[in-house]
Amino acid sequence: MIELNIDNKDIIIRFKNITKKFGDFNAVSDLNIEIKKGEIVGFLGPNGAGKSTTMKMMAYLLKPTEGEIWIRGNGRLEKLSNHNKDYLLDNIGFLIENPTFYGNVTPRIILKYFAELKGYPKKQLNQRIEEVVEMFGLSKWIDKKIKTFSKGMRQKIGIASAIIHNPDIIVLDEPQTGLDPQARREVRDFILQLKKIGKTIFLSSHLLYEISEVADRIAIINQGKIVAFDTLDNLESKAKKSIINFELLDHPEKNNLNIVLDHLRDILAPFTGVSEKINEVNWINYKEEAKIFQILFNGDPKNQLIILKTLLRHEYKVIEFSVPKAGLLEDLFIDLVTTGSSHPSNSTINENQKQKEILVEV
Amino acid sequence: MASDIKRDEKLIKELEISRQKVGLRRDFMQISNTITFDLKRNINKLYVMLFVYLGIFLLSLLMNELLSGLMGLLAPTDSATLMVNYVGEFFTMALIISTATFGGSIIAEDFYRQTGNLLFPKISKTRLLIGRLISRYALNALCIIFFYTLVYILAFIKYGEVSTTIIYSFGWALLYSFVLLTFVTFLSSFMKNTSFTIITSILMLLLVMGMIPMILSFSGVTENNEIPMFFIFSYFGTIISGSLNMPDNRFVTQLLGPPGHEFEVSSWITPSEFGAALGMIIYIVIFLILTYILYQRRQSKGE
Repeated sequence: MIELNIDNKDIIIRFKNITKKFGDFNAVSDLNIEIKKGEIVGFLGPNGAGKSTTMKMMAYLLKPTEGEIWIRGNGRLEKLSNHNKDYLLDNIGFLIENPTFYGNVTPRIILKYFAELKGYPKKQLNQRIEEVVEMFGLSKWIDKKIKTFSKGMRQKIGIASAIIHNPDIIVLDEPQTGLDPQARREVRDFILQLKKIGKTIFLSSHLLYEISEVADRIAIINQGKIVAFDTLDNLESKAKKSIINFELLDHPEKNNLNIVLDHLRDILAPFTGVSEKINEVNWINYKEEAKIFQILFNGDPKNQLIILKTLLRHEYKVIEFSVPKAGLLEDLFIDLVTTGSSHPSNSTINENQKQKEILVEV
Repeated sequence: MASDIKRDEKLIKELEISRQKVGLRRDFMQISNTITFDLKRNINKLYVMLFVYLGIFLLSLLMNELLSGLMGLLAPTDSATLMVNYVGEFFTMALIISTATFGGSIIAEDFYRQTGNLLFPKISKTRLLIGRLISRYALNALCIIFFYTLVYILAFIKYGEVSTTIIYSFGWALLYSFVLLTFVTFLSSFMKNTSFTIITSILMLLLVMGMIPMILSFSGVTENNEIPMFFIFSYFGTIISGSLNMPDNRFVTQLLGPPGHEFEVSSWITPSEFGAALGMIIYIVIFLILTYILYQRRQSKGE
């Protein structure tokens, strides 16, 4: 149970001991999340983990079997109920996965309809629609039929429909699903742009990179239970292992690849920060398709710097050297969701998980 | 800069005031917005259906005026009798087609195409359903008005006056079209997609409903159809033409078959006015309740 702190002005959404049962099946169990004003919270979990059920409860499409959802409206946190759902949900914009539009209408018509549904003032409506459409770079398309739009453009209209009534909270369910890399980047930039103008964003996805690129805090859910909820940095440190990707100017030939790998093992092994059991695992490998080397290390920036210096000292012509953010969390995420174990409270990692990290040595 | 801040402050204030308008006021506002949006979205269907009704009118005209003349049949003696020929089976068929076209997508569309992911929770299912029922009914009513206007003009040209019974017939057509719409909406609440709903509705209303009395009669369950067919709601559609010239005897018996082997076939021409009104209201209530229950229980992938 978490303590309810009504006075905390930063909290804008609070899930308090939420449980949802479908018969004997627990879709969501004792979920506790607090979302602060102006932050992006990623809601990460595999398919069927309970993300959509949680979103549905927040949207009042499903009622929790137990627990309460509190949403800030008119300056104070209010418990979501049938009595106040219209008013509280006016302050939230929802984009549910894979939105499909009526093809024979234009963005202007559909956005007007959605804004009116949410009680946006009629006098300001046209100006608001034009501003939002311009924000997404679709001004030229405002009066074109949506059936002529690409998937990326439709997704932008989907996000526009979530923010058209100027809500403080925006809930996005897998907004990058099915988009090409360019459209994904645009959606990611919009999310960051929304944060800049003070919006609070609750972003659900089963894709780690989608969340880790933008989220301030990440809640990992598995089998209906929150297994971790913390900032990206804290989760990274809890992962205690990371991956370095680096590329050489001269890509190794197939026939001398093993020689290069052996040499790298010899010179880098002392600086990875991983345990004496390092020789039992394949901690360095070469990705032929991407032409990059990958090194498992303890995630400590000092070790990262020493590894780079060592490579340069041995005259390796390094042209790229990076630590991908998603890679940092990937192992932790997989560990957490494959065991399906629960965590008693936020910001903690189960002891069993820690024991699994046999390679790690801080 | 200062004017921008002032504008923003004004906007925020208006937004706050506007968001206070919840409860019944919001219900009505959302229903009204849905009606407007739905009318815009289905305007092309309306144009197509008006052409269908025009086609049905011209077909009736062809059959009643030209073919009757060629076969030497007597012309109707008054405007009411003339109108009976126009709001008969062809008109009922057009009514079924237009209702299925407008109503088939009411619910099924949002689940099949997942457009529901955008609508919910912006609007509740109840408000959406009410708004859509009203708009689709209005579109269907426009088609009926169009057809009756054509019939009225024709009757006026031919007889110089139009029987006032056309008003009753028009009223019954509007009521019957609502029964049909609730039936189609009921099918739409559990059918997978719009096309399937439209086809099923048309087949059930044109074929299945017509076959049931025959099957019952031949099977001996209702010998000679002595019981009025209240159990088949399509029967109520017969009052549209029946009310123009209400027959004294609503039950007729005919002898069919080759000489020496004739057999009696009995049928009901039209229900009474009271029976039709009561029966249609009962069907409307039943279909709406079933639709509401099924719609509330139905869940889309993203919803």
